Amino acid sequence: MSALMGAAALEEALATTREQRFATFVGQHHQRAVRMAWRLTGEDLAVAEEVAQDAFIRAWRALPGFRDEARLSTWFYRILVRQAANRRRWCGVRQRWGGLWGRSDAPVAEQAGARSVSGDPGLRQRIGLAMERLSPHQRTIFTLVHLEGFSVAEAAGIAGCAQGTAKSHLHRALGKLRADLGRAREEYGP
Amino acid sequence: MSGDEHELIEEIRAVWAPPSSDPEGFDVQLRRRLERSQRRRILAGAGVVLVVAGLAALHLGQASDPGELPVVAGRGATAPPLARAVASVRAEPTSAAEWWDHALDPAQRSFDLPGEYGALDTLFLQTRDQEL
Repeated sequence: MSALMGAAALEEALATTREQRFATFVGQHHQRAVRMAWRLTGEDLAVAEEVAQDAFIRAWRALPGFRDEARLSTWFYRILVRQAANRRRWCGVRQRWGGLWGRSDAPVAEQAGARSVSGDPGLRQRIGLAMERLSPHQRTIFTLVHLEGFSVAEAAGIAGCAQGTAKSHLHRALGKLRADLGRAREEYGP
Repeated sequence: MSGDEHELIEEIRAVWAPPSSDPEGFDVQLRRRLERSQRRRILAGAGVVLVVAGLAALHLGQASDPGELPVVAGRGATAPPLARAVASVRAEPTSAAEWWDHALDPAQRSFDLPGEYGALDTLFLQTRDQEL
């Protein structure tokens, strides 16, 4: 009986520890997760928050089966990237079907100008459009490495590809962005 | 990486970022969604348990339903109509004794036996006697 009670107490303590650990984790990663989701899904804060919450909920459910083979954050951002990709795919389907029924949602990057709060809304919109032109993998790896500060190895782990592939995506993304934004600079000035 | 590329990345990082998200609102919303998700999982689990229990009860019910069926239905030419008869009363009586009473009483019987199987009542009686 006492052994049973001991096991129950241990289980409860583990659950509490798990909850505390998760709450701390959410507190530490909330802003970064939302910012990353915003950059990956297409510049809508409400959508980004929803995607980040979906990722936290999935992580919470999967936490008991998580083994510390990878860092917790790498594991979580892998979930987040997958959630963001699902959301983008779903938005694409909605846009296609919306067009079919004569109702078309505005492209995501076009909404950016309206929400822009920085000094140059035009530049922000141009960056958004240039990011839209990247392939999903290029956008993910570029965001992870150059905007979120992950190493190439970490980004490859998060995106689920080889390091060489990640480097190639990064190189191509940078080339495309330089060409797009360079052209825009020539057209609109710095 | 060239200086130009560095500058470009810095520019993108500085300009292309969302307004900061409200931590409290986010936390409240996340907790609400977590609770809702856990409730849904509990309900789904209960649903699965109910379906499994229902299927098990159905299976047990069928298995323990008139065990007499193989005994009676296996007899030559009487088998097909008898099997049909058994199937038609299966849902009504609950115990084997009730089933026999139901089957033997023409007033209660909700199925008609064809004339050529006139000896069927006798067969029922014989089988019941054997069973009892």
